[in-house]
Amino acid sequence: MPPSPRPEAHPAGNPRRRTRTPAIWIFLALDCASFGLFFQVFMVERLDQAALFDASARQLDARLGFANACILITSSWLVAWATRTGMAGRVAEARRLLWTALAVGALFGVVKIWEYAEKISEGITVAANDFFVFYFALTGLHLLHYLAGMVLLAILATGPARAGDAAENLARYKVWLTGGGLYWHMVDLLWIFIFSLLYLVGA
Amino acid sequence: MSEPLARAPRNAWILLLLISVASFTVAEYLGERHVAIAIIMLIAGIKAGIVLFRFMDLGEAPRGIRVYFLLWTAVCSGVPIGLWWLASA
Repeated sequence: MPPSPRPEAHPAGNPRRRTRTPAIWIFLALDCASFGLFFQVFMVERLDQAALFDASARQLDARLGFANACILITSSWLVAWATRTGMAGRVAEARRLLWTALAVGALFGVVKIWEYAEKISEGITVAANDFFVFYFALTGLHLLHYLAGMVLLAILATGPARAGDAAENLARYKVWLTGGGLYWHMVDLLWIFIFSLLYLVGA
Repeated sequence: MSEPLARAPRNAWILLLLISVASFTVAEYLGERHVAIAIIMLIAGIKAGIVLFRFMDLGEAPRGIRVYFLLWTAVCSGVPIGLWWLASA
């Protein structure tokens, strides 16, 4: 019996790794689907209670939402730059860019905490009304995604593993850099719609 | 850093910041509500498209994923506009 043909060599070393990038896309697609559904439910509720949602939306500071949009766009750009640099094999430069992206991204958390503290000090909590149920649920869920992304960026910024085969470690690092970068861009992508629906539509 | 590598995402970054300012300005100053909401959500869709294609390189993703994310963007920006117009009709 002739031996079965061997799979073709892949730049990343192990051919099984080829499936990892589509796998992250599938994960992102499912995550975005759940947020997309949430956006539509919010919009239906918004139209059902237009006066309440308009009055509540005006209690949000759109400037803070705008600042966070600019922060995430900038951090996302730095990650896109780092991914391209890292894929070209310039790991030290990619790591510097990732640390910068992380520092810029940290500002989002600062603004978010400031905003939550301001709302709570005004007596506005999740129990205030239906608008603020959506506000805290959407921004809270997004904040969890943001925190996971920050951890991922911090891990990527430390660079490839040092122990073992350097070429294999670099190949593995590139796969994680691509996946981690895509995840961080999704955090930015979701904020684009959250910012528009919560802060701008009712402004 | 070599310029050609950085150029594509940098242009996209500047464009995203500029249209974010436009969206914020429309929300703050455009009196006509229906038009403002349509512009805000259309801009959100355009911004999502820029992030998807220029930062996430969606053009290099499998076709099914490309189609899915284009539809997702269209639904997220288009359905709120449609619902708003239907409710006020």
